[in-house]
Amino acid sequence: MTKFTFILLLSTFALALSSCRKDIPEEPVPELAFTVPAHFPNPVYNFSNNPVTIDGFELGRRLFYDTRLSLDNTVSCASCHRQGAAFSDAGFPLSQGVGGVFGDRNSIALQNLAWNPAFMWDGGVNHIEISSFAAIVHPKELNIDFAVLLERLRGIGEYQLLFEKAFGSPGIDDQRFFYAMTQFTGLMISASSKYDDYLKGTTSLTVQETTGKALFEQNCASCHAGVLFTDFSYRNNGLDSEFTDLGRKGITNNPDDLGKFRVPSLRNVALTAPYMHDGRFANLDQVLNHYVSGIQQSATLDPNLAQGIGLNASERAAIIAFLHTLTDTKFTQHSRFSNPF
Amino acid sequence: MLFAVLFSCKKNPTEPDLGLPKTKDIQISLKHVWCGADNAFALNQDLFHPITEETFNFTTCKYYLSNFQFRKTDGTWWSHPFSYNLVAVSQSNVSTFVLPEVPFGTYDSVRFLIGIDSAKNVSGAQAGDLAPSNGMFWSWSSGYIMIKLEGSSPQADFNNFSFHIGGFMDSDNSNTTRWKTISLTATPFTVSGQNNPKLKLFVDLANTWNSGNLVSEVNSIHSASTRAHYMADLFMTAFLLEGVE
Repeated sequence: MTKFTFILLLSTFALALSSCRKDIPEEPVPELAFTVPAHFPNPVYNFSNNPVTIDGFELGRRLFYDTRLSLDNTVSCASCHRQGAAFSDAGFPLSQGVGGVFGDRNSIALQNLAWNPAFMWDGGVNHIEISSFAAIVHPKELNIDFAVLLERLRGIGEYQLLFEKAFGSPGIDDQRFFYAMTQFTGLMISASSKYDDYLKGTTSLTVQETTGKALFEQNCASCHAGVLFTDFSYRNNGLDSEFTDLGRKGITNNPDDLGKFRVPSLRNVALTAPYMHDGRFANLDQVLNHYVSGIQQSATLDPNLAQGIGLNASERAAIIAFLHTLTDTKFTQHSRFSNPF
Repeated sequence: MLFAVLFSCKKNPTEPDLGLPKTKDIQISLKHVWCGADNAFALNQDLFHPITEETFNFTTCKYYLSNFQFRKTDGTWWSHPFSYNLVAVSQSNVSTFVLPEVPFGTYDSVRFLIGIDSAKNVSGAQAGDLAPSNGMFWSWSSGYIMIKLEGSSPQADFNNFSFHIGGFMDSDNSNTTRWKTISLTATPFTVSGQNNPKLKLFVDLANTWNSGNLVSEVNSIHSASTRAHYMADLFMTAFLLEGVE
């Protein structure tokens, strides 16, 4: 029994005791804890400073789905991070923020964030707790000054109660906001795909998926590495020879980082189209074709891709079949992460 | 019951307070001036720089001082365990903040970091003076802005200036934070049960510009550029001892 579960049981017991006098039936308290899947590496973030509680998680969930987090009350985090698309913006190369303005980059899937050493396509954000800050204040996203947002939330009675419930005393401030948000987003763990079941030995892959897995490991896994399907590095994968988006160089100012972007996880990749930092590829066929015959040369191109990747049509189809085994509908349909409004 | 008795004993004013820590909250006072101690710095007012002959009209002057340390007369340094202070000039040109629980003693030197140490830059969500809602934290490239100076100048492009100096990583030479040491040898600083210790500094903001840093040449910095490093070096020279109480 985890310590957290134990605390929950205790509090359930206390509730039961306190309600003895009246015969009000208690709703069962659902278990909630940050649990590292057995086949995952150690996370970067482990909630040691921000213990997960149901009230904290539910507050974060509400904030995530609340359009009042944007300047004109039209856009929430969930507007561009949709659960059914593994919290990416299903179908949209770029996403629309306040006023219908399009953002600069494709909305990246939100999953297994507690394992990320950095956030955003260029890794500019260095900590999960502040990962929502950039989107909230960005003029092309939620477009609201953070101090103004906190004042707004302080004026909403519902949030006064929810923050007090989550943190044990009245008050709404930066840290509490980000802690609650992190309890929600940090628990978005995707580890229940067919591939995960295969790793556990509870299911087997088809012949085509098995072929695709071998081809993937041979040709793709040096970057899309390990059980998280990313090595978290920044690479130029040959999309362009000239760069309108500086990528990682915009953060480091290092010329060697020009046109480099984070290697994204491929978990749920079949649900997160379109692809690349600018959403230029509509489907996985286009992505595979790019690696086979579309590589553009430039000074910072990843050396592994200089010659492209040689794959025939059936090999490409096998890889795509394998990638579909990374789809985790238990995660993308779990009621815990759905819209509470 | 026994605990209650013990507890109430402590409250008795006639008992010696042997268990109490020998510390005192001290006050840091910063008097913002422009070209000398007699000229008050003010927001929304034309300030002429006699060396560069440029005119500045500030709308924002905010910066961080952190990691205060005091040198005892035996030469060892005492480090404040948690001192992060946002200074924001507003109506008055004097800003003050409290450093809690400084041990009793006599100190002959003080030093502090202008800006925020690298550890706090990578530690996630903070509260109080370090809260992002203070407008001193970059969202797109995480890290604290250590100095924010904004306003207008007829010499500047588009008649305005915006200097956001920050950066904390030694690895890519982006660390613009600076340690400032101020000697208190001539006026030793005593913290005791008897006094209300106050350390008073001048901050001469005109020092941030000179013939090598003209607002007509550079009126905007939003990263840890070479010029940002130079401005951080100049800003460091703004701090001078006014006196101690």
